[in-house]
Amino acid sequence: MAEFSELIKNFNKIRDFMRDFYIYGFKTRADFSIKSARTYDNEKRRCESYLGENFKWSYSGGGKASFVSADCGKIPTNPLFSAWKSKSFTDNDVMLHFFLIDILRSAGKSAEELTDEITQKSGKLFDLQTVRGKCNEYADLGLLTKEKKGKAFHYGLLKDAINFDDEILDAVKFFQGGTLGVIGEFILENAGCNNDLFVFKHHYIAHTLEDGVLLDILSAMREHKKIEMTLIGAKSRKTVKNRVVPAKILCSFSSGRRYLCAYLPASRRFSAYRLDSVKSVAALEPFADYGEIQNSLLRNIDKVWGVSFDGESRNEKGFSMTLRIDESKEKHIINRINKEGRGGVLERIGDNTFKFTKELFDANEAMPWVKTFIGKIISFKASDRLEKKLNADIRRMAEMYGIGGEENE
Amino acid sequence: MSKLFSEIYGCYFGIISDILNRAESGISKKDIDGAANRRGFSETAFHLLPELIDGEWNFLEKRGDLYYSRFKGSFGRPATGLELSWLAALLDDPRIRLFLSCERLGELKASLDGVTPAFDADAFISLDRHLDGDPYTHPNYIANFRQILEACKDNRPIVIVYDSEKTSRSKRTYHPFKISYSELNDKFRLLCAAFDAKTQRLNKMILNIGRILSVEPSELAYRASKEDLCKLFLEPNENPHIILEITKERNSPERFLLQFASFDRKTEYDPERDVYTCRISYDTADEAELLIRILGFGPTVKVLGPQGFLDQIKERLKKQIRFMDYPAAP
Repeated sequence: MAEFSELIKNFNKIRDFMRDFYIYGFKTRADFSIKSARTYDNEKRRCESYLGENFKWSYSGGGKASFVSADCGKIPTNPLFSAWKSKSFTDNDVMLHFFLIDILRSAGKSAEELTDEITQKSGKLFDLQTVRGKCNEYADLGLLTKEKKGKAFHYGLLKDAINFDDEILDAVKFFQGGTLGVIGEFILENAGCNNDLFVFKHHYIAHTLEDGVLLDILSAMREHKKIEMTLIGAKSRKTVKNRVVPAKILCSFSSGRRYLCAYLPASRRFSAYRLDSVKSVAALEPFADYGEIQNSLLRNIDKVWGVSFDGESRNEKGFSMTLRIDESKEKHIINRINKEGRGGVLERIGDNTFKFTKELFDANEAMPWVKTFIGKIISFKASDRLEKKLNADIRRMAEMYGIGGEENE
Repeated sequence: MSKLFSEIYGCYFGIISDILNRAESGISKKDIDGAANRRGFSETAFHLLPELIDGEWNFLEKRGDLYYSRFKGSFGRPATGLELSWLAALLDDPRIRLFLSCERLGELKASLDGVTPAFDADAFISLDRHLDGDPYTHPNYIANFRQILEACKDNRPIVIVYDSEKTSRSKRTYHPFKISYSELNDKFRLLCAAFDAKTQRLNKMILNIGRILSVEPSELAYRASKEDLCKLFLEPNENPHIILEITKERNSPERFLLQFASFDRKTEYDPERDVYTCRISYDTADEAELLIRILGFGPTVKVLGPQGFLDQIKERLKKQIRFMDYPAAP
């Protein structure tokens, strides 16, 4: 039986488990039946090792459930970053890393010279190909310089282009809580410090598990390239491959979801894919009309509440709602509508009465927001289907909480 | 993916660097253990140290009771291309001005000239970021932010003139703790404490930095200790948990649990009733926001308690029924 290792070769191996333990938290061993029992035990043990006290367990009706819990508004560093620090390596990798840095501190050298010196210093025989391969890998990563001298390449240790003083490190402490923040965490760790200044509210730490595919998508977008994505269906759990033109990343900071909005040349339409369903990304050839699809998306995005460009019915063109708001005491509600209403129009149509109107492709996506105004909605106008849906929801909620019964008492 | 997931950023390489740096002048086995436990995962010391001490890497040599590095000079790697490209992407973010002076920003831009940014800000579209975000480029906002940042670092009190939404303008001494940022609200908030002379206690305060008119150093000799401030802000919330029941309709468990993932919470599945029960720990300051977010899930999420929270939900529903004249439940 192979010995258990804390470290892993493939990030995707841990990604789904960590997400499930964090987001769901109620899953027992049996709920992970898609994987073997041994895989479950190993990945659970790794998550437990990476996450320490944030990894917990409890017994529920379904059995013992392991989960990750953290009040994200109180933690300075995303505990899930640890997954990105778990890459396995060989003895050669670690020896070459430290011997290369040590030797190249003094002067640049060719791969041949390095091979001789490392072999002499380490007492282990390294072949030229291995050393040259590692040097080229580090040159690609930006750790080593590589320049041709005569017939051979000479490698040197790159000097830091940046002086990481307090001002820059303070900025990194903040931005590590944002886009691709794990890279900021690498910088802080390398500088021997951590974030002791900032905490983050409405912070979806599981986003970091998508940072690998996000980085690949952003790189393709910058080069206006098509991509081939491997996706896992949310319900079917089946793997599919899609060739699309990545256009924008759509972020919802209230729902915690992030999507790739992509153009599908074959059907000539936009579609949105949840980033957490994207398993891998391969860049393809550039897309000639990239600028045009960007413009087309920007022309239409105002009519998108969530990610849908197409309602169930073409008649669902938007909605309006009339609200009773006490102007003397509830100014904060007017402020809330203005800041959350995504460009919709708020009109005062009478004393303490306001009407909000928003044109949308798919008004159904705005229904959760509409329901946040329960207690204030005088009327709601949308498609017949949505009006009935809101009425039915409120009626069900009243029944659920026994409101009708109390009213009749 | 491969660029991001690399052993050079890994925790093992970091720990080895730490140990080697300290081993220049000799390090004990106990201190090696300590370094692995401090920076590593739970099982790191068990897996890494035998390789480092007795394996074939040949990084350390034992002399007496101490281990010495076979290398001369300390280990620190330069920033990688990926790290530089991430920094280059921050240059266009207006919030960078809160940290860097014009001169420093200019120097950084010059240093990163030719580095392709890891992302372009316009690659992202926010669907729901609030439209009344803080004025990051306003000189007064920048000046206030920097004074607050320095006060947080130095743990010293400051006098703040604050334009509150609810009360009138106030001038008071505060003991800063940390700065909180919300991507949804697009706002920075100062987490701080104010000393109440009557009760002789520190009171927890949260100030919107966008509503701060001025910041000055305080002459006050008393400084709230970091421990007291940590206790005030980081200890678990004492108010009762919100208890909810989530049905499987409309993919609600997935939607709900993702949306509330940032809270300390515990979820259980009841196979007999086929529902999920979720207990959410929350700060009282967030109660109003939680209430409306839960209402947004409609009949797929039912609040079971605490009573005060449940009463607020019921009150809103009663008002709604009166407005829309819904038929009463049978």
